[in-house]
Amino acid sequence: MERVVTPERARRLARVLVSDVAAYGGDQVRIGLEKDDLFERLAPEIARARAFYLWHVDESVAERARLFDFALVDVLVYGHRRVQTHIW
Amino acid sequence: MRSLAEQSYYEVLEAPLEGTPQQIERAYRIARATYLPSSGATYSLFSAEESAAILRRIEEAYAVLSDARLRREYDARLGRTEAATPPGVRPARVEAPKPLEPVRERRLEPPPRQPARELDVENGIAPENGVFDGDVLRRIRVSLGIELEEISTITKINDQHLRAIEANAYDVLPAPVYLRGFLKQIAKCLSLDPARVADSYTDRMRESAGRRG
Repeated sequence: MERVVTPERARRLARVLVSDVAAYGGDQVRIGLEKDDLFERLAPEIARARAFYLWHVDESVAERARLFDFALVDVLVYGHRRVQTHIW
Repeated sequence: MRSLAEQSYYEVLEAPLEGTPQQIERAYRIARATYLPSSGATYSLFSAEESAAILRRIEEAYAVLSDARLRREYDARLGRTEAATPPGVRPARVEAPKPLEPVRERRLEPPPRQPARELDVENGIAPENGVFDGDVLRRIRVSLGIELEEISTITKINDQHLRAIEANAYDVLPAPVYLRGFLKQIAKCLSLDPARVADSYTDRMRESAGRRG
């Protein structure tokens, strides 16, 4: 895979990886939000996605780690904001 | 995605443009809870400064949208109503808010959890030995920055089938005639040779079935 050297592509890769975590996790995101243990519940999947991301995104990309964190919140939390849970 | 400062108040709160006061209130509560430093949802992903900046923008949006008069004025500035613009006066050009992204609604019947094989961190997108199996298709998709949902939207293929194809879950795949069609559509989305992908994938599937007897 071509090395990712731009923030835009890094952001895109992060979003794709995190949305895959959600898609392949079945109902785990909803349950994780309901039980307020989303990131523990999906910890192995997120760790793998993060490892893949950091491997392919060049260190020169500003705030590359944070771009992944933003994708996590955007896709897993905000993307599922209609879930009924006490944490809202 | 535009920066927070560039987003309209409706986008900041992810509230519908025609939202009722109750919808605005609910959107505000959700947005605020998402970014509060104490939120169990975000943990410590954001620094205190970032959280404060985001929350300030959320509060600002709510202050305007929850006040009927301010909201009318704001809507007029967005060019959504004509009443506030006197005849003959050209309204200020304000970028029209983009439509909100569709919300992924909760499924009534959640799909079974279908573990995909782990992405091989070091491998590129070139298929090994010219073989296109689910793993390779997934790696190519990820490399191209395409979400599974986008493939589903473009091809109209059910996302459960897409996941099954990428996970090489042969037992739950549709009938071969449909599968070949699906594979060709996926290949087109990934700019691959449709016939080659369909042949390779179904060959692998037959080999797997043969090994299992």
